[in-house]
Amino acid sequence: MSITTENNEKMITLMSSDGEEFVVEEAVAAQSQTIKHLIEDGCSTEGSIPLPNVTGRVLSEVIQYCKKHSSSDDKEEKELEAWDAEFVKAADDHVALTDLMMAANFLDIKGLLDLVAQTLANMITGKSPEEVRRMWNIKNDFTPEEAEKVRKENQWAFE
Amino acid sequence: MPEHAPYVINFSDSLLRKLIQLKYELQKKKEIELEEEKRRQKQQEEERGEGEEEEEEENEEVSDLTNPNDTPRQTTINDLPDKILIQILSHLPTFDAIGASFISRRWRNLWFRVPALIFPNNYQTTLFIHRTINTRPPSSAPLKKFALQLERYGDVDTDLWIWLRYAINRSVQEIDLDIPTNFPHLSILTHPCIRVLKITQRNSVLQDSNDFLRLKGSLTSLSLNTVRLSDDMVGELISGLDNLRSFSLERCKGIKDVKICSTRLRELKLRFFQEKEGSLEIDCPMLGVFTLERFEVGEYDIKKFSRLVEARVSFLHKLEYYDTWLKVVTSFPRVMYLSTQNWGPQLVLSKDLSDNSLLTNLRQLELETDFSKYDMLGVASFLETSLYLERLILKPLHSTIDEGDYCEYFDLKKMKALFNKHINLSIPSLKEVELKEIKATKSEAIFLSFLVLHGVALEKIDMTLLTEGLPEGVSLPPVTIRRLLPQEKICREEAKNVKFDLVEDGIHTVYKKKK
Repeated sequence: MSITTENNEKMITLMSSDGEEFVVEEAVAAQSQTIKHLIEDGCSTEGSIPLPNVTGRVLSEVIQYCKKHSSSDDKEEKELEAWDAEFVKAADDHVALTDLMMAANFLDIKGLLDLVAQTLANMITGKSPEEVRRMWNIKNDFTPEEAEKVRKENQWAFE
Repeated sequence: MPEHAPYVINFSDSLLRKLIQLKYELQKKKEIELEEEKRRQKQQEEERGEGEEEEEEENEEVSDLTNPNDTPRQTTINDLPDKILIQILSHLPTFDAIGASFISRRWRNLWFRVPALIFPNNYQTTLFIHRTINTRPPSSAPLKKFALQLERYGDVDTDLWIWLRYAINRSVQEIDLDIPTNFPHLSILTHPCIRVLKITQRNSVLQDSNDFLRLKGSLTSLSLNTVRLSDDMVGELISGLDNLRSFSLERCKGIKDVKICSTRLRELKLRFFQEKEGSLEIDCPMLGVFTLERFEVGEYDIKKFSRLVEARVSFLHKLEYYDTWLKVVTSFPRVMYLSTQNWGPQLVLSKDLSDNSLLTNLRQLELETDFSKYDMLGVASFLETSLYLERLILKPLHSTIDEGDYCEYFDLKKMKALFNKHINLSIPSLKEVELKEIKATKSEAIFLSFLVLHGVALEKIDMTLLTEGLPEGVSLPPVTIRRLLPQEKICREEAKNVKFDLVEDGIHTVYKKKK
């Protein structure tokens, strides 16, 4: 159901995968290309928009980001930068960052995607493959033969 | 009635030191705990290791199926689609992106699909770059960005030409070249696919000017760093590039009378140039962002920027530069974000800011300053005019002016009157204050308590301490003071009963109201 506030701002209800509902201004929700298209296609007129891939905890963070970025125009870049830095600092373990990344991808919010990608890239810089695996809980699924092949394949870069 | 009333802190020198001391102790305690935790884990692992060895053969099949570190199922990097992994890799130097191939099957050769080639500094050889380009299969992603930094040049003119040719064939949009000398084949960079171009040539001789002038109208952003130019070339570049929105000159040589007039430019950056005989003329009415940093010439003719939102201005901090500084700052009365230097009592004595109602629209001020009484007068005159200021950042100032200079420059009587005058400040919108590299001196503490008393909307103060004088290898995390109830107004009488609570993300001040 779309509700209208005093300022005549159209409100949209988003529902997270765990059933939590968030009522936000349409302009805020439309930062997400996915939601924007859903609204354009008329999917928001009946009840809330379900977001089956995003939990309430993550969604509330994403909304926080969108609110900040919809209320300020491009001119206030300086301030936004500082705000962004604080924002990713708050989600500093990689699980929280991955959740954000997944949500940003599903909801198609370019700015947030770039921001988190840069943060994750900074985490790999200067680390060995083994360190990256340990940090991100990635299983080394190369067989010894494959590992040797990959090593040979990329040997040129490390000579 | 709220349980915690808002705080007022009576800052003193010793209190500030105590805050920092507390923070330091907290950090040390944490480090010790962390070490103990590690030791304990190691011990456990060793014990477990001994146990496991005996059972290893029996469990071999099972261990393949169950991950020993099995924690409750969480999203991890592995759950992200390739598209996103590629985006992460595109923020890395190509060398590291290739290295990621070793992580797992999933990551193998993912770098082929990264739309950027980034070769920072000289830790890769020209051979590496050639091989990278040859290894990237023809079907690989088109390029968005090509960045190259070469410390030593050797004889790579032809190589560079080949690499740039490759990038252009892959429709590259952004090129960032940092090379030690000038590149004779600049004309290759005139290709219309290039939108953003940044060139640094550290030891360049005068270019064959035609090379730059052939740059095409598709360019939206041009940065020239340590490039040798001529005044005419600058003029022709500005007028010739139809889509240019952003222009930057840094440490450039060969120029004298610089003239930048354009109705298209949105962003202009001029940094590090000295020529006493030279002049600077700017007429860019559409400019939104302007940087003038240590660009010192004899004469300035700067037309008003009515749309300027963000500015950064600094000169050599000598008294004789004050007038020039003022002239520049007066050209953008409506600016919202300003980063500049404090000019001490000059600002107050001359009343330049308040009389001309300058800087009344400031939202954020980043000021290089010290904390002497002279400097405080300067800060006060900024605060006096900026009624809407929300964020204040103070950084150390590298000044060549000392107190003696002020006494010589100003009438002593006037000076005395100035210090006795009551400064009535109103900073109703100030929300955040950041103090960088403070020394925990008394004057800083006085300034802090002043802020807390007058900043009705003040929510947060961040401080970092100058690390000089601390034991080696110790770095102090910033101290954050946050107000518990940001909406409430401060009541001065209630300033006496303050209790500090040390929590992980900073020092919260808790003040309980007496019933």
